[in-house]
Formats: sequence, C-alpha cells, structure tokens
Amino acid sequence: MLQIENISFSYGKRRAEVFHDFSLSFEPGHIYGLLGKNGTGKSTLLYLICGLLRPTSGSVTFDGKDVKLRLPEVLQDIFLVPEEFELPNVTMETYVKLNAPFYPRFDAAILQRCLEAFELPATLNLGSLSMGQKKKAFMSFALATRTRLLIMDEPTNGLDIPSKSIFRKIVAQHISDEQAVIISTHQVRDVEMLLDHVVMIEGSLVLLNRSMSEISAAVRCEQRSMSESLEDALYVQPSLAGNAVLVPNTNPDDETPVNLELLFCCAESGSLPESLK
Amino acid sequence: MIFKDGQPIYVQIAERLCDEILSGSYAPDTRVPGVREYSALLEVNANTTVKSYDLLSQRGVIYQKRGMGYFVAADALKLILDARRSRFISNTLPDFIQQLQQLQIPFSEVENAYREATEKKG
Amino acid sequence: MKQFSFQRFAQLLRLDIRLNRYLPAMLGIFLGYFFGFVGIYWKLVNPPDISLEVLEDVLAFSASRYCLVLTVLYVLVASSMMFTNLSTKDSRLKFFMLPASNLEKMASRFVVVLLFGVAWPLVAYFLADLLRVGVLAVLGVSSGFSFSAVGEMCRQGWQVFATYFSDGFQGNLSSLYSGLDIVFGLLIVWLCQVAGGLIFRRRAFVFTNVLLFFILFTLSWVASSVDFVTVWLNCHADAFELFATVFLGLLTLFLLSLIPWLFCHKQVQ
Repeated sequence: MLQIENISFSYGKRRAEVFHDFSLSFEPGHIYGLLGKNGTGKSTLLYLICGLLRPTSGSVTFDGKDVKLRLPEVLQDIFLVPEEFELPNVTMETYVKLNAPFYPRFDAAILQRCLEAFELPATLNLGSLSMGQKKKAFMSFALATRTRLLIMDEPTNGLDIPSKSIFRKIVAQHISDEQAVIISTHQVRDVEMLLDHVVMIEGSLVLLNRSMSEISAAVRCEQRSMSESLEDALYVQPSLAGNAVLVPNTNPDDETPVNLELLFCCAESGSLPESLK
Repeated sequence: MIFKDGQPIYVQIAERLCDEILSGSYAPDTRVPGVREYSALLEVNANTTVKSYDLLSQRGVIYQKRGMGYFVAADALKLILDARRSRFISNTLPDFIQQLQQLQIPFSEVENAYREATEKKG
Repeated sequence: MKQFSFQRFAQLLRLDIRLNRYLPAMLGIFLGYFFGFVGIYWKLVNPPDISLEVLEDVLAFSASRYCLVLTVLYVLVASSMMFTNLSTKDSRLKFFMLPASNLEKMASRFVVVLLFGVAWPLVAYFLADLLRVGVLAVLGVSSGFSFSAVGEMCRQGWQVFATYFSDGFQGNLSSLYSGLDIVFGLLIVWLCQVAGGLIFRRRAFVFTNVLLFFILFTLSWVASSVDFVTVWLNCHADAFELFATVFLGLLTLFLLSLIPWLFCHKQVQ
C-alpha cells in the first residue's frame, strides 16, 4: 500500500542528510509503531509519507501513485494527526460540515462514539479546548474519516492516563482490516499493546522492522533475580526484581510478551539477534 | 488489561475469556464478544485477539458461526476445567512437591491444612 | 479521477470563507474609500471663493484619481496575499493535506482574491460614494456621485489603449508593440505580486515591490546612463521594440508557469 523506496532527504543542500537510501513499506491491516529517539527524523519521515516534504531522490508511493504529487485520490486516503496543531474557533458540527465532505468514507457515527468515549460534548466548541481535549477531538475526527492510512505523531502526548486508555480502546475498536495505522511515539508504554508491527529508526538507519509475532518468536523478556546468570542476555536493564533481561528465544512455543522499552534499548546498542536484524 | 510477564499476550487473553466462561458470564451456546469488541475492552491489537480466538476454537472451547460471531461450545466448561486440571497436575503440582521437599514440610501438614480449608467453606 | 471537480472546488471556497476572517479587511477597504472622500470633499462644506460647480468638478476629478490609485493598490495587495494561507506551518500542513487537487486549491485562492480584492473594492467604492453623497446631503450640501468622473477617466484610458491596437492592426507595428507591452507589463506586475506571495512568507507585498523597483531602477539606469547601451538602443530602436515585446511576452508566460510550479513544490517546512 505505502512504499518508501530509496529516499534521501535533507532540509537544505548544505545540511546533513536525514535519510539516505532509506526504504520501508506498510501494508493494510496492521498498526505500526514508529519508534526512535527524539530528533531522529520520525516527524520528517511522516511528512515525507504525506507528501508534505519532497525527497531529494527516491520515491514514496501510495497504491503506486507518488505522494508528492498531492493527488486528491491519494489525499482522501491519508490522514495525519500532527503532534501540535491548531483548531479553528468553530463548533465541531461546523468543522465536520466543512471538512468531512473531503473524505468520502467519513462516518459520523464513529465520530459520535469517539467523542462520547472521551466524554466530550456533542456541541463542542473547538476554539476553547485545552491541549488534551483538542487532541481527543481531532483524533476522533481522524478515526471517523476512515482513511486507509492513518498517521499519528505522538498521539498520547498531553493525554491524561484515563484518556490514554480510552485512546487505545477507540483505536482497537474502530480500525478496520483495510486500514493501516502508523503511530510515531517515544511513549512506548502507551501503545505497546496496540502495535502488531514495530519499526525502529535512528535517522537513516532502520534498527528494526519486524512484526510483533516475529519479535516474540525471536526474543524473550524475563525478570531475573540478582543471583541468576546473565550469560545468555542480549541486553540487561536493572529493575525492581533484579534485572530485566532480553534473551534469545530458544523455544518458539514458549513466548513472552515483548517489552518494547527493553527491545528499543537493545536495538540502539546494536545487540539484536541476527534473526531480527 | 494489565498483562503478566510469563505468558504470551494472546494466551492471557484466551485465559481471561475462559475465566469469564467459567464464572458463568457466557453460558453454553451464547455469543461471546466479537474480536473488535474484546480488543477494545482489553486495549490490544485486534490481530492478537484473533490469535486468542483461534486458539480457543482449536481447543473446542468456542465455535464460529459464519456471519454471526463466536459462541461458547456446549462442553466448554468441561474442556476448560480439564485443560486447567492437567496443567495444574503437570506444571504447578511438581513445583509444589519440590518446594515441600526443599522446605521439608511433611505431607500430613498439607492434609491438615486442606481439611481445615474445606471445613471452613462448609 | 478528474483534476478539477467543481464540488471540491466549491467546498474549498466554503472552507476558506468560513474559517478566515475577511470582514475586517472588507471594512478597511471601505473605510479607505470613505475617509478619502471625507478628506477630499471636506471643502464642499466650507467652500472657498469659487463657484460650487467648478469646485465639484475639481473634487470629483481628485476623488476619481484617488479611488483609481487606491483600487489598483487594493488589487495588488490582495494578489500578493493570494497564498497568505500558507504563511504558518500549521496552515500549510492543513491546506496541503486537504483532499483536493493543486489546481482546485490554486483556483479557490484565486477566486477568493477576485471576490475580496477586486469585486469588493468596486462595490465598496460605490457604497462609500453613496454614503458620502448622503452625509453631504444631511449637512445641507448637494453633491453628485463621482462615478461619472471615474467612468470618464476609465473610458479615456481605454480609448488610448484601444488605439494602440487599432493603429497596430492597420499596419503601425510600433503601436502594436506598445499596446502589447502595456498588456504584458500589467500582467507581469500582477503575476509578480502573486509569485512574491509564494516566495516571501512575510510582508510579501513589501519585499516583492521593493525588489521590483530595484530591478526596474537598475534596468532603466543601465539603459539611460551606460553609454554603450544608450547608443545601441538608439541605433536599433525597431529591433529593440520587437525584442522588448517578445521578451515581455515570454516573461509573462514564464511567470504564469512559475506560479503553479512554486505552489506544487512548496513544502511544509
């Protein structure tokens, strides 16, 4: 569905390249986590995917069409929820009347259900909202557009803990098998359970690009006491119980849930097992 | 849902549904929540829940009616209890016996504790 | 899918007009005319020692010139603001992500400028003049509308302009070239405003016209002060006339294709 092929990009001719010969692809029916440290180019990649930035070489295509052309049939199927944004000073009803017609698959019932879940009134005035409420309102609209590609940049930033839970619920509920979601975040804990595919990047380098099932087949995350051996560990992080360790999984029938924070640190230090590289 | 460390998520989800069936929330031949509904409840990826439902379907605990969703099998209770019993006997019991031996606790103490507990429940 | 859907285009217009605040600008435009009238027609209330009729004619003439200049200014400023909706990152992001073709987006902004930067000033001028006549009537002074003076000026200007072409088609090539030069020149000035609005993010009007003046000044300085150039121009006046017209025509075409290119290649950052 979305193919990023050998793109290179820098913000100016003299500035360092953010991406060089970078490739990645995304298919429908998955919720992708795009993880990486701050400043590694996650937002830049998202803008490149949306056609908001043009790569200096290579191409980004959606269903075979180049996104930088900003064709309406492509834009109808991509929706971006940026990390920071402004909402106009109108009611939600007006906002929907003005914007929903651009999205042929828009479903007002989904918008209604999401707003209710977030406990936002139906007669909402978008201009008088706090940052968290703005995010919730806009995300509800985003889900209602039912675009085939939904991109969210740090969606849980600014949400209180109950709202993060509601966010997970509405994403799990309203994303269909024809849709792909890309969640770019460094708040890994907030979305761990929603993801079924993990992409970790560090600038131009793809540290990891695997499905959750591949990851859990390849590594185990264990809590070991201080006395237990750490010889087979790929990565060790001190924890309350002693040590949190990442070890290769020798028994594919015996999987553990994946601790993404641990995995990320492991990937960064270059200690991933060969099967995941 | 807060997940434990030891088991894969999809197994934990399957066990949770089994817990609900055991506690009577879903009677035999009644419908269990749909994949998406259950995913939303537990805040997990729908593909994970699909795996759980597949697992339970394979075990025969639930069955799928085309276009209508998943239903509790007639003998689900028996299947779940049997599975848990055999797991207890093959996993938990040996660990327990090993601990008894390590701590040198005689079996008579275990018997007494058991009798007291069952008598209290009456 | 078609590149231009009228429905989407109309929806873009709806979105633009509803979410942007045009009323303050519209009011400002109106007041520009009205206060100009107040200033110019003030004398009618306290007339000096000449007949009212003569005074009126003089004032009508001044007013019409003032309004013409003001209207041209409004059109140019509005044109340089054609893409002011791209001035912040947030607004750029929103606009580029809207599911509409680049053509529809550019057309919608063009129509907005047409509505609020050309059509409205004409209406505002009419209303301001109406108000002026009314206010003066209340003050006990009767005064005619300044339309006729403006109409006369426009008619005269048009006649001069038309003769360039009528003479031209009768064989006077020099006349034809001059006529075309005027057309191309006006288009170029207007297109530069629009292009400037795409190139400069802030104070586009100021930067564009400062740059334009600088270029024109330099060119005319070179043409008149550099001996070699002056002599060459005098010797090859005919060829130069043709060359200038062709050059201006090409420049117009260049700007016409530059503007969509700039728009389509604009990035969010």
